[in-house]
Amino acid sequence: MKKVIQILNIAVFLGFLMVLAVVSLAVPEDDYSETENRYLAEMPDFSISDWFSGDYSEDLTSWLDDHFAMRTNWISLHTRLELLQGRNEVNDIYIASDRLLELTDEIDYSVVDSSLEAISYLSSLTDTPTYVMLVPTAAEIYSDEVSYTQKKVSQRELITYAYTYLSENSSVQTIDVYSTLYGSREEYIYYRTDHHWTSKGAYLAYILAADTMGYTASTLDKFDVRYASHSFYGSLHSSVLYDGIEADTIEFYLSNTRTVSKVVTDDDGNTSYVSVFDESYLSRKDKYLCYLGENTALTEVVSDSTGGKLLVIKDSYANCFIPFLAENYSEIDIIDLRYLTNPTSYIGDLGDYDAILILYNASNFAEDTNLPKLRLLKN
Amino acid sequence: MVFSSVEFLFYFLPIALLLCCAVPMKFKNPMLALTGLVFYAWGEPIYVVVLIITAIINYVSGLLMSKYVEKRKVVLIISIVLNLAILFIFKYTSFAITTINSVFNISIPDPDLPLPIGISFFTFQSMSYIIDVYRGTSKPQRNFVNFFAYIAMFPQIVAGPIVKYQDVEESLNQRTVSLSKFSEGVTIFVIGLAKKVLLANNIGTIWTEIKAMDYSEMPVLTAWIGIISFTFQIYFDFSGYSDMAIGLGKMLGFDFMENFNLPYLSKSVSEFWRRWHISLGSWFREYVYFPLGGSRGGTLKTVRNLLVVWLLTGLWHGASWNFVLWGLWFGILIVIEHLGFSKVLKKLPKPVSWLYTMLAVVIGWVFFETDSLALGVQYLGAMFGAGGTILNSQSSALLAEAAIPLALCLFFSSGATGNYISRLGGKDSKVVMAITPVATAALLIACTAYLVNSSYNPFLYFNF
Repeated sequence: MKKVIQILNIAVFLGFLMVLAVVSLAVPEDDYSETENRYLAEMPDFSISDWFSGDYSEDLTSWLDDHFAMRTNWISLHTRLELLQGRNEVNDIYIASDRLLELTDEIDYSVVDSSLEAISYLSSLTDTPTYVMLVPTAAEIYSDEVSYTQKKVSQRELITYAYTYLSENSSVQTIDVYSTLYGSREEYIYYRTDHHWTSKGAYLAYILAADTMGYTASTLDKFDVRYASHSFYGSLHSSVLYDGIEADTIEFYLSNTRTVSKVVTDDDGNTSYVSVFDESYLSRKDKYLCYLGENTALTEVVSDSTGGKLLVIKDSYANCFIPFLAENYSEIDIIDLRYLTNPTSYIGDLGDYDAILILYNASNFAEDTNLPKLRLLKN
Repeated sequence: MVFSSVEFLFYFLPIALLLCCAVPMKFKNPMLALTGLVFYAWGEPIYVVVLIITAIINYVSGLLMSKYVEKRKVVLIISIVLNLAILFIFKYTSFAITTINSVFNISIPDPDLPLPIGISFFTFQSMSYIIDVYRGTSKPQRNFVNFFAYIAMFPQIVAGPIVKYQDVEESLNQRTVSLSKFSEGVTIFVIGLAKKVLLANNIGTIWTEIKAMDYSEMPVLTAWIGIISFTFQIYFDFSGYSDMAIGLGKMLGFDFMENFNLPYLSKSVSEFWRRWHISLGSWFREYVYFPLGGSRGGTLKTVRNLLVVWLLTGLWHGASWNFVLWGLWFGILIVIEHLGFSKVLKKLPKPVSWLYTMLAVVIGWVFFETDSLALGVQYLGAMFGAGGTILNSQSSALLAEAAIPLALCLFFSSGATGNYISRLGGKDSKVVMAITPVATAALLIACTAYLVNSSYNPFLYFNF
């Protein structure tokens, strides 16, 4: 009996280690993890200098970690074990009762200041009315669901700071969507498992912005709402792989009065027009990409609206917002500063535009260091 | 490489065990030396040279001592000076230079050398060898590979325990691995891994959070939650490492001495140090305290000897005034206990002497863990109300967050599991035996989940 138990104990130990090691090495994995929504570490090439600097062993360690057998199951188990101990913040994601929240780290106000200066500079170049909309993320709107210790910073303070600066130092008009979104927090305005807002949230902001930007917002009956997917697990889910939160729904607000298209130019310079709702991403993990597709430096959207020409400088929060703006603008040039080095070649004469909208989520705005690229623009 | 990592556990360890166990005795030490070399070089591709040089110096010294018996004292002194010089250069240069600079108001440039991992462990092991040979308690090791295996064996090279040469001399020359010993090793190793990965890392996140706060306005409750969390973190981390080393040693056929024996149950500071990091205490006792005369030369000499040992113990843990103060704090308390307070402690109700001991230990950890003397004093102030408040909403939230991890730590540091096992009939009872493989599997699975998701897995001994 004693001997059997000892053999069993040893077999469990060595078996566990060796089986997992062999499976990890034997089963090839993709370079990209769709479930985790990120590229996995690459196998490093050996070189003497990397060995002596310690880079080789470090890179090999990352590779071994990333290509570990059943990696995603282990991450799920880790999340479950953390929750079991009453710890709700796992891998920087806060697991609230019915949603996941990405908490904002401390804000570096020097980054914020240089972004604000760049926006002021942009508005000083032109008479075109310029608008700024900083959208709070779900972490701010649902901050009362986060326990005190994990509450990090107030996006509301950041938004107030930014708007005060802009009204004092520039002609920029600001659009404060906080109260509207907070007032509708019982509705489905943010994804539960993704860091974006939903089309519903974006629609509320679209209504709100109408007064400031001077357009007549299309009422809900102008749209056919199509439920494109009921099985969306977004970017926050990728970090914790926790299935205890209900999957999200992707909704397309299809205009029944306008034809809205994204302009696609292929390598030969041929132009074609496609839907702003790209259904091909419905089969992918990151279904938010249905809205305008992957982020690129310049995206052009056109519609048969009678309105003018709009320039949008944005992060991905704008992607589900733009289809609404197409109700009121016939041409929309969308710039994502993260994917270019100099915006000059993408933006023509600022005077050609009837309006400029800068739209970021507040959390990303606080961290994004690309806005100063606007200073490269000349009038 | 640290034990609590995917690359060690799943790749290095199975291969190393195979190489070191499944070969005839004459290949066992070469394999042990080789695996130790790879293990160390993985994390220290350059400083592995320091390890090799240390080994050569001490190996040659041992041989010289046996050849020139009448001059062996000279050899001893030279080799100890060399060992200490290596330790000093890599560990204490910056400390010495900054101290000299601030005392004489000059600016000698600080080379700021990174510390080779485990240097305090392997130089102390080397010195134990050379002193044992000098004293004749051990025979000089004639085979360099065997000697290198002793210095560099992977179970204890980075975080101890400090294995004295006389304790492993026999096993180094001849050892067998039995089924029961290997199985025992597995259990001890897995328990150590769980202590580190499941208990220490978890409670450590609470301390990390509190340590980063501003101490000047910290409420009393927050300060205590913080330092108690660290008290548990350091215990489970360090004793977990020792358990892993002891378990690995058993799998390889060695018997390393116990390094921690439920230290937080101690009822005096002297007792605490007989239960905490036992291998270090026994090293200092054997190679410093006794040679200085121990407690045989009258009260004054004993006090001097105790203070010397505790000053050195403090310095061993790291090159800063915090560690010096930490060591002296225990030295002074032990002197006081030695001069008669221990008799008082014995008469006091047990909870009182326990409380005194834990208070002394916890205050010690404040200086051990804060980044400067000033911060240590400030933190200590916060613990006793200098922050101005007893608690705020943040402290209650922290308490709620820490409650379950703290309860688990309290339970496992109290020896309750040991009592429970003996109630079930001891290690050899059928129930406990039946649970063993199940527990091994469960702990391995839980630890693997944490290791694969290794966002938080600090190594605390870079100072040592």
